[in-house]
Amino acid sequence: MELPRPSCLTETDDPSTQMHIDTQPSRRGTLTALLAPALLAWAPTISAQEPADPPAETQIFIKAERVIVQPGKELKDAQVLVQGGKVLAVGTDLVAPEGARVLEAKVVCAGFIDPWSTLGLDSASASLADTNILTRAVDALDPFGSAVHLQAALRAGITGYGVALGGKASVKGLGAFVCTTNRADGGLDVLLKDSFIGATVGSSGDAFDRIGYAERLVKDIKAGEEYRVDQVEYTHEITKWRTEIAESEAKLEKDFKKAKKSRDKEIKEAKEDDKKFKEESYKEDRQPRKPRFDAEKEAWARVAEGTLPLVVEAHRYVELSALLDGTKGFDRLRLVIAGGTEVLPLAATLVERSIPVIVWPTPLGSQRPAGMQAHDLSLAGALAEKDVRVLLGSGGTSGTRDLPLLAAIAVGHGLEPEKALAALTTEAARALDMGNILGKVRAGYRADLLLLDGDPISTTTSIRQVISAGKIAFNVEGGQ
Amino acid sequence: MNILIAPILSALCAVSGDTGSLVLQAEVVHGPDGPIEDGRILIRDGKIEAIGAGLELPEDGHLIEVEGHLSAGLVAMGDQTGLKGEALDSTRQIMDGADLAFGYDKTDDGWGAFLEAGVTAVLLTPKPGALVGGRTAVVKPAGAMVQRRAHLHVCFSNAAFKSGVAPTSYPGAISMLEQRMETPTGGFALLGKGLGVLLAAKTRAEGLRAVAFAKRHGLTGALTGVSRAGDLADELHDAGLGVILPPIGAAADPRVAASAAILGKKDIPLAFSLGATNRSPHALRISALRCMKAGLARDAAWKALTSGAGEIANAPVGSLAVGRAADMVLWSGDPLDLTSQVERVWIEGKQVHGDDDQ
Repeated sequence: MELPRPSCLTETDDPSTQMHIDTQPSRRGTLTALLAPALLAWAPTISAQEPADPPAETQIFIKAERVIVQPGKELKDAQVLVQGGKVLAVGTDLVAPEGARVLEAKVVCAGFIDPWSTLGLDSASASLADTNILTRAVDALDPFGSAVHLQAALRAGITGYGVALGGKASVKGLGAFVCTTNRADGGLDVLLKDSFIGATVGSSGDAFDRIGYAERLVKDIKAGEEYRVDQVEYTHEITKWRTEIAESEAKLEKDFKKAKKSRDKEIKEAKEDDKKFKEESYKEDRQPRKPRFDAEKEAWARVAEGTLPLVVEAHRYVELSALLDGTKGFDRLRLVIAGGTEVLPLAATLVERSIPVIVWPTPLGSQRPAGMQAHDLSLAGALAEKDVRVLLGSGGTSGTRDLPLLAAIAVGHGLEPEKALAALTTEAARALDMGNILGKVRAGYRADLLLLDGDPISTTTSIRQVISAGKIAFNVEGGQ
Repeated sequence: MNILIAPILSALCAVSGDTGSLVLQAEVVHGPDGPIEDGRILIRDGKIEAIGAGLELPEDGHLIEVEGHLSAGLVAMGDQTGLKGEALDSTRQIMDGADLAFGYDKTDDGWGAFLEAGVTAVLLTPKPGALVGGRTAVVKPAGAMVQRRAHLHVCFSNAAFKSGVAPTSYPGAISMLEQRMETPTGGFALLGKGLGVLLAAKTRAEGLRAVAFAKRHGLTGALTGVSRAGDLADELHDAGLGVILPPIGAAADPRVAASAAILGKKDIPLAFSLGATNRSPHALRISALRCMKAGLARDAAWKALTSGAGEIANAPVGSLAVGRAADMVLWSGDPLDLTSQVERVWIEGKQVHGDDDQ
């Protein structure tokens, strides 16, 4: 069904402020309600021809003084319509569909994302030492044992997070992207089972040891790349071989009668001459050998070709430098640095290669881990000042609920509030391959939204409601 | 921060001396009765002489207008900075005459972090490893002793039990303490006479024993170390005791912070502990914010960082009340917003942290 774009929604070219027009029958009722002013005259006709409106309880209509579509882009006195788990429309002249639940807020923004967490894992698994690239974080999720922490994170506005096993293990395995809300069956809603590969470089040892860890990681990536090359070459070779075989067979088929006649003649002549007939043999090209399947190399190949981001926790300059040097030849590698305590001198390289850094702006006391002696709360601000992509995370701990506080600390130490909000939303979503559905208040995006009574980064702001996948997951006033 | 009016801060640095008085005007001054918009504070000889809006500038005074929020310095409880090995004497179980003040090292490098975090008073406590670990002291990070004997530190947790050395059980510990209370000497004799009691415990049961002990003997002071002291809110209220909340870490059970909200609703005096020398003093504000997020009222959280903590510390700190030492912090914004930073710190009217050339 082709619907005209309502005039009230065409004031801007920004697609984020335009209505997402979905022609699915189940949404027609919503559109009818939304477009009430424009379609008033048509309404009787539509209602006579179309099926009844969908149940209105699935719709949430939010009116807000400020809607932060994404950091740096806001709508004043705007509305957001949520239906079917997604943001259906964002605009300044939307009308509440009849029967929709109406919420009001001073500020609406996207739910926060913690890209560096162990929330939801059972405690023993969170610090496993014997992980490898095939170890999956989803296999260690314990929503029941972590219920209070998950609930606290949700109340703090974190709607999604990246989680990996392994503590300080060299290779932590497959990290997942998980929601803080529970499914109906009590399990956790996992948006991506294979969101990234986690690794650690330089958690112990002297400088040479730590460089060694970086080199080993590079070697693994290289092995994955070669494995992929072998697979691609095999694909080409086997295709070529099959083609040649087919051509030979076709030629044989074509020449069969003539060849048979010739063979019969040769057999006859041999018999007459009392000689042994020598069968002419056709030597086929040897079939290319398929590379032996190697699950670990297969996973490393996904890293090397950029299918999966590689999130490496590294703190000191020596190993960070070795890691960046060693990986510069992998053009498709998507490296993310976690921690990066001494990464500031390498900022130019990070910018050049668009490598984000997940900073953990938590205050540490005097007895710090060896790699974090230089830990400084101003790191996030200093990196952002040099145009490095900055993310903020809870340091691979289960303290994900602290993320907004950490963001505020980072702002207090020099990070621009807008960049802090981007770190919690758009940048985090982008780094973990969720940028096309999370991190913005935009039509078509998953409806993970925060309704606030003030600025999102201020710690004196209260979260009134948290909407996760279109449902009210937390309501400060109680109820759902 | 911008200084809008000269003469500038060379005078400020010396205001505790005899060069006259200083009037500081800030966007918001967090006074003892609440925030004052465009408030002024008059400082003379290192002490607060007046506070309010529109204070007259004395003839010998300098007026300095600053941007930001001016508040009392924060008060940190339960720290051992500078004590090093003095925080625990493992040779004796009862040290009611031991003053931690003698172990205080004002030259310790760790004090700078306190000033950076806006902390101007610290309650030094022993580590909970002896039944009576000594007498606590209140000090200032810049070097002054405020209260040499604040509390007698009594440990009701099993951390005080050692193999083969009495007490080795809870009943034994209570028995030893009761004997001391029957014929009090040393530190026990000073209880209720200017010396409070700090009751260290961990579990709810230990906390109940500690509170009951204090109530039996009419002792004033606070319970420290019980993560979910909210479970004891009624008992604490009846005994008139305060609570020093343990450090609330990122991975702490959310019910620990919620416990603070329960205590706050009962108007039980609260303060925040750092708990260990390794913890950044910034953790104080973060703990307060965590409790606020869990339901602790804003005023209660602020009081727990300042005046309420001063009351529990048994020392005249944590407030900009007239007559108090001018221990002040200038924040870039609301001090309960972590986006606000410490711009300057004054102790007894003397600037001890922050730029002085603006």
